[in-house]
Amino acid sequence: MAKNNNSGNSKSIQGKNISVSRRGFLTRGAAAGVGAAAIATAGSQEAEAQARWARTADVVIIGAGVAGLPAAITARDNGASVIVIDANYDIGGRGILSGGRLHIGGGHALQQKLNVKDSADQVFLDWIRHDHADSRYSDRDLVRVFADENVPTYDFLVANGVKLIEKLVGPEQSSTVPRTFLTVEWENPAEIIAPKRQRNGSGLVRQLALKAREKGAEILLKHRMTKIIRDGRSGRVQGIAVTAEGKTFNIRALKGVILATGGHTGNVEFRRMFDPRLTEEYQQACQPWVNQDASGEIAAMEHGAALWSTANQTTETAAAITKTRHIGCQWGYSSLAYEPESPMFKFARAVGLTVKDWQNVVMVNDRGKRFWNELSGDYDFFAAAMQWNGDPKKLNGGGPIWAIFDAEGAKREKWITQPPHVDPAGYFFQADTIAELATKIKNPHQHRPIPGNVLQDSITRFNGFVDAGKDADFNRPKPVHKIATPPFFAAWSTPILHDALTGLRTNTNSEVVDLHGKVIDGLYAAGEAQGGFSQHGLARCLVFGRVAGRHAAKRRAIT
Amino acid sequence: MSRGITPRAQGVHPSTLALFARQEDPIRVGTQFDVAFDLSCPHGCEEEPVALTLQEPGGASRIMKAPLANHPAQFELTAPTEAGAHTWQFDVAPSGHDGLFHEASSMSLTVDVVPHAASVAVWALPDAVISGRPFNIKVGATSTAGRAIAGQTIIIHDIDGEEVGRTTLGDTAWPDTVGLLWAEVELRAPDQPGVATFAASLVVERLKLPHETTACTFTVPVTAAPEHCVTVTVVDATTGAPLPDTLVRIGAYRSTTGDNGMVTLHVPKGSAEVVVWKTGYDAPDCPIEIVADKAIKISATAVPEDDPDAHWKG
Repeated sequence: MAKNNNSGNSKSIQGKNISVSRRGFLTRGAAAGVGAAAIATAGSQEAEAQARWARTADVVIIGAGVAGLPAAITARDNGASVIVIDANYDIGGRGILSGGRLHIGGGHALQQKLNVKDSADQVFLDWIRHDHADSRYSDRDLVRVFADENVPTYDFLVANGVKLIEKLVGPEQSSTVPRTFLTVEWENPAEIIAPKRQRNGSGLVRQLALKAREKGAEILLKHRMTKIIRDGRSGRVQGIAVTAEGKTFNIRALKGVILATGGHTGNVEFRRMFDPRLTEEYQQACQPWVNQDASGEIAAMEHGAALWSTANQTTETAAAITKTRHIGCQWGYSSLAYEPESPMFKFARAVGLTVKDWQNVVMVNDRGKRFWNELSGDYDFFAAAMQWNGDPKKLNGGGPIWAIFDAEGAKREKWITQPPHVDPAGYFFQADTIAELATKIKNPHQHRPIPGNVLQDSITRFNGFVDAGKDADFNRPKPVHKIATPPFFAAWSTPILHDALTGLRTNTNSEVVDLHGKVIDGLYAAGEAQGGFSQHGLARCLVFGRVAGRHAAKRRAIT
Repeated sequence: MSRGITPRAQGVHPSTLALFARQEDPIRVGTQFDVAFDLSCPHGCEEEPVALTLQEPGGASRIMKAPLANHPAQFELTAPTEAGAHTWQFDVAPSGHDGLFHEASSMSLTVDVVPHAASVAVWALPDAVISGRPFNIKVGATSTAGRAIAGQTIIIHDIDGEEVGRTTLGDTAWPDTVGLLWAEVELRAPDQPGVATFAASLVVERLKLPHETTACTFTVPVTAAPEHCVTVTVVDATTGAPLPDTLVRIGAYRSTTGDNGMVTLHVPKGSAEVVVWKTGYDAPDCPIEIVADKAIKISATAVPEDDPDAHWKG
């Protein structure tokens, strides 16, 4: 007979439980309706005109990450009162999951100690190079500020207790001299979200949060900005609307609002402005810890803000999209995986199987067909993965990519094909034959089942290439291992998105500029929410966080 | 407002019977599957279970009870043993007491019942087989009907469709599989060297329930008999150190190097490519002419390893 369980309004009856109680659903629906109405009312112009300010600070910062924290410290250092809000339950944003790679130079003390000759002018020249795709599309006004602020930003980090490893990691991207350094990982593993993965960025954001609080900045967690409130007559930004634990209220910003919300990579509609292929099946690095939801960009664009330097998002050089490295889980970004020790493990559900040698797998698209040389991981590989695969109902995006391997491949890689290493709930499958494996692949993004004979044909054909010693389809070098020994496995290995390389237009003070080229008075952007140039890593966030915090703090307050 | 017991509604209400959900996976012949439906009253009445007559596709009928309520009820049905569209008819009789009555309602459910699916795997293939000589492989099959295929026949055909071997499936599953029943079979390599193609398929005609099958096509390189030993030593091009655990192929024959970076392969006469593969190294393919035993040395160049953490390490 009918039973209820806790899995919500699902009609699946693969198991024996029926999951819906209509009365329960109606009750929940009614409550949700009331909440939605309340938000709509609070957001109406009428309410805005009579905005009541629950809280007030000189500078209000949205996002307690790599841009927001230096903004808070700098604003405090310049005498402003500061409230920082963050939607997450803890500080750090994507920075806490970063490897701590900091691209900073200009001739600072550590460079000098390591005998590196550098200058602000050299930083500028390197990051406006015409002969390098990472710098070709830069806004040179912003690069000039970045260059001039490199040494002061290094000094700022040292003054605030951030430790750097005294070692040169090497020049990168368009730099001609070594400027990449790593921060020292935070000492308390309980405060590192993925403690077994060398998350050196934790040492940056934990230390900055400590200093920000010490200096009197208030950080409100689990607070989400819903909109920017602007004065209808003067056009000056007055503050923000916030929701926290179901309540909506407004925070007044007497001097400025700084958007340090992170980028847009996790927002499907937003990211498709730059590349329509990036449909919903592509996951975002650092989920489920944080979602780059474009909330800062959208809130500012509702007031006419412009995007800037958008070419950088699609130069096909930087880490806008990457090959999944940990397969068989939903979020297998490069160096980042959530071990069972991670507080995120419950949500990530699996660590993933780290691929050491792509010779051990064959990759197929959601039609069960190979699409490219599996050993490759460049933008041609991504383009092949995202090509139209013949689905008449889905013309954009390429659907899921599955890594197929056999028992021998698993043995060579020393993979344990069980949880917690893999996620059988849609991201990892096992079967006795290749044809049966095809029928087992079920995932929200796999819109059509893979025909068993198609997958079998793909594998038979590849195995023939192993016999022949040559991949006649995609020229994969030296095909060496057949996929033949049962059981067989299919592991999610769809490319995963990473850096937001474009964002809001700002001037050299980090003030947001609108579509007409006019400053939106009192609104700032820094970090991945800001457009300008496409540097990977933490430095541009730190630099412009400081620039925004300083400029906002020095403004005249609203009276 | 005070809360009291709502007085029982009076009169005659309609009742509706509608499908709520059914198993999403294909429904196979002869298997049991779940359906859930709503028997409800538009006025939101909740009543004791009422009689429901289920007429099955074969014509048999049975009486069951279903609650007239605001939540779905689930039933287990059994699919006929023949594939095709089959219809189940559900009829709810009028019911009621104490002045409140519900009218009759009915629903039919047509399900496309599909045959069982069986498929085949072939493994333990030799790297190469010698023309005209016998060789052994392992074959296995799995079916959505489970062990029903135990004792059934697997036939191997060559590329021309000629039967070249057959075997009978055992009744134990291959290790680590759910239910892959398997057997060994001896085949004879074709006389002509090259890559030979075969297909292994499960004979399903004698099974009680209809099956659809997917055959497994596989290939095996066929060579002349090995006559010579070629010893390959693989070293790091920069340091000269031996590279253990490196895969070496000469033509179709392959093995991996030991701790001393050496491996000896027994190979036929003729020209072949020596191919070396080790993660993080690059070595050019090396053509050789095999006329006698010989030893060769191959230098592999370390390439910056594609280490997932390289981006982050100091």
